[in-house]
Amino acid sequence: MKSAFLIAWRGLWRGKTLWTLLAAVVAAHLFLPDAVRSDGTLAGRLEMHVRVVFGAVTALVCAASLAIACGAFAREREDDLLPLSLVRPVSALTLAAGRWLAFLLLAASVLAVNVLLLNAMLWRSDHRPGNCRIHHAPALPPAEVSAARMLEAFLRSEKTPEAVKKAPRAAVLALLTAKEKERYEVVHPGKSLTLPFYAPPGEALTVRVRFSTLYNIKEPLSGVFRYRGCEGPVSNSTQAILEVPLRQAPTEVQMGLASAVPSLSPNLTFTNTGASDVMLRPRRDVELLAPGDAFFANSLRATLEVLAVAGLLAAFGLFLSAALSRPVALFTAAVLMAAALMAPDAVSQFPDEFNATTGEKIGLAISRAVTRFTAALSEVSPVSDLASSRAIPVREMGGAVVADLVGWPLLFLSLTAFLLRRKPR
Amino acid sequence: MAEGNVIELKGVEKTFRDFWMRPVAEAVRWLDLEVARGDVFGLIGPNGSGKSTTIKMILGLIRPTKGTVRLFGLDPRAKAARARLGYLPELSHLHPFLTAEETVLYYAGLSGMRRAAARARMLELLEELKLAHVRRRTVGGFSKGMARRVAIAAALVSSPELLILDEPTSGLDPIGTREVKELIARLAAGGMTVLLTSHQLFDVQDVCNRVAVISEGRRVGGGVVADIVANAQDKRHALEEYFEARLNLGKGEA
Repeated sequence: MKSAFLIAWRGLWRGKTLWTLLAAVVAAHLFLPDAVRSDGTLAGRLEMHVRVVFGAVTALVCAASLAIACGAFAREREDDLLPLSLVRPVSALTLAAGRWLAFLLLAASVLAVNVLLLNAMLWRSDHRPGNCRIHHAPALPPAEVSAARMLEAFLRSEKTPEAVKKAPRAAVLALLTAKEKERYEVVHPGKSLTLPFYAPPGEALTVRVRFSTLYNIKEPLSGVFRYRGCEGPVSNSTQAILEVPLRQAPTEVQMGLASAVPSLSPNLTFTNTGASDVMLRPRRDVELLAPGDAFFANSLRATLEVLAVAGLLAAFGLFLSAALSRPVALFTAAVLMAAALMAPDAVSQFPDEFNATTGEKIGLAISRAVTRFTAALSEVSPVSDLASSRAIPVREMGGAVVADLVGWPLLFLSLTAFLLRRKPR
Repeated sequence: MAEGNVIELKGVEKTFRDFWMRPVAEAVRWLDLEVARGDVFGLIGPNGSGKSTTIKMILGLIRPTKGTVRLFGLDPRAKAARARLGYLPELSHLHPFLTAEETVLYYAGLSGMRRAAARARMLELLEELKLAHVRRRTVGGFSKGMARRVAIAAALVSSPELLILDEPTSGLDPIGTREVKELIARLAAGGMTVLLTSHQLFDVQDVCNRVAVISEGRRVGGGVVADIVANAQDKRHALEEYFEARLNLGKGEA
């Protein structure tokens, strides 16, 4: 393993790949922040700085890991070097794993420099980052479970059209799940909406929310949020993303709303004190924010998530390089990457599955399969999380590391080893 | 497997197929071959006769369609068999970014040698192959002859019991060729078994004690080199004469 690792690492080092990537990272930190515009606020500048620079480096490292790995064994096969290694008493899996570790070290080196530079540059700028925040979503049952319950109710109902009852169950479930994720709740004036949350008590909590109206235009709104004896008034307009800090409620009498009793239950209550109906999507528009740890710690977690993705892509690239020639492997990787990036949007934005043509149905099925296969990748969003100061949960990061740095690479490297033995020349 | 045989091929056939599994070429047809311990065995034949395919099957890089290949009595893919093997391919492609010593140490590492032993052996080999003064230079800038010698050092670093050389003198000047022939003679004298292929029949006659002639995937002749020379009219060109005669006979039989 050591020999296989060293030879790949020396290739990256002496082939100037490492230095080229490091130069690109430094250039990104020096020039990109000045090239993008923000909304002018300090928070906006911080968000744009992190999003653009960290995003650019993430894209660079992922693309480089995949592209370099795609050429690894393909080039050795072209140069007739592979048989020289394969006739030695070493397993093909060891040869593949050694190279993968070298590519992982390359990504880790570049990402380490990136995270240090990012923190240093932000520290000396006027928009220093504060602590990140832990985002708590409403503790609702999964959308799939709610959709299944909805479907059962539909099937029992006599009003449900026969066409819906006869439609494929999986397709209807997928449709209902998508609907459930986007479901709106309407809060009429003087009424309340209650959502369960499990944020730890005693923290300085903030509600992050975006209200809509029925006609999707900006309207004034006012109301009050309550959670575990704390409350926060809100008075703004719909469509804006609002952050409402919750403070200890004075007393019931001072609150002036006889119907709203401060609750110590883990429910967030919004009471509409304005004159208009307001709407929000419980699964999308409301979160409870609790104070998290420092930006530096969060940037390390984001970096680890990116490293995990780079590791997965490198393993996949090695698999392609064992199966195909270099140009074909690169082309295949590019096509698959594009498909993986576009598939979730294609699925979520597909207008009407029941009136689709056969070709569209096939395309949708492929998109769904790709989305399911790449779910491990798309479930992490380190760039967006870091830019919006969302604390990346250790559990989420650990899951990504285990899946993308251990599980998938093991599968791809085993397939690589199999192909190397099958097709050494 | 007969006692003392390092390589044994029995009824070996190899048919290459396309993606749809249709036969494309019959590279080797019913080949029997035995290489005994201590032999310097020459596998000779015209281009496209199946020599390289035979060597790849012996190395375990491809599997025969029919028949059996045994290396030290084992499957050629067994680690125990590969651990006792050294291989020099026809073209000395090397990793151009590695130095001569790193190249040799890399293959020593793949052979499972400990670092100190590998280093000592590397220095000894580079000295013997007159590469000690350039051992820290990257091989990308080496001439064909120097690269060939580095490849030979890489093949020998694990002190194999069997050395398979595909066109060992290809790309070498007359002095380099002579040095490689002397090296093969020294290795054989030390008890190493050598299997080589070459188009340079003079070289084969000089270094080998046994040969096999292959044509169109079939063995059309072979024997002890000393006997072939003894029976030849022109002693200097004995193997060439024999080779031509066997090829013509093979064509006649076909």
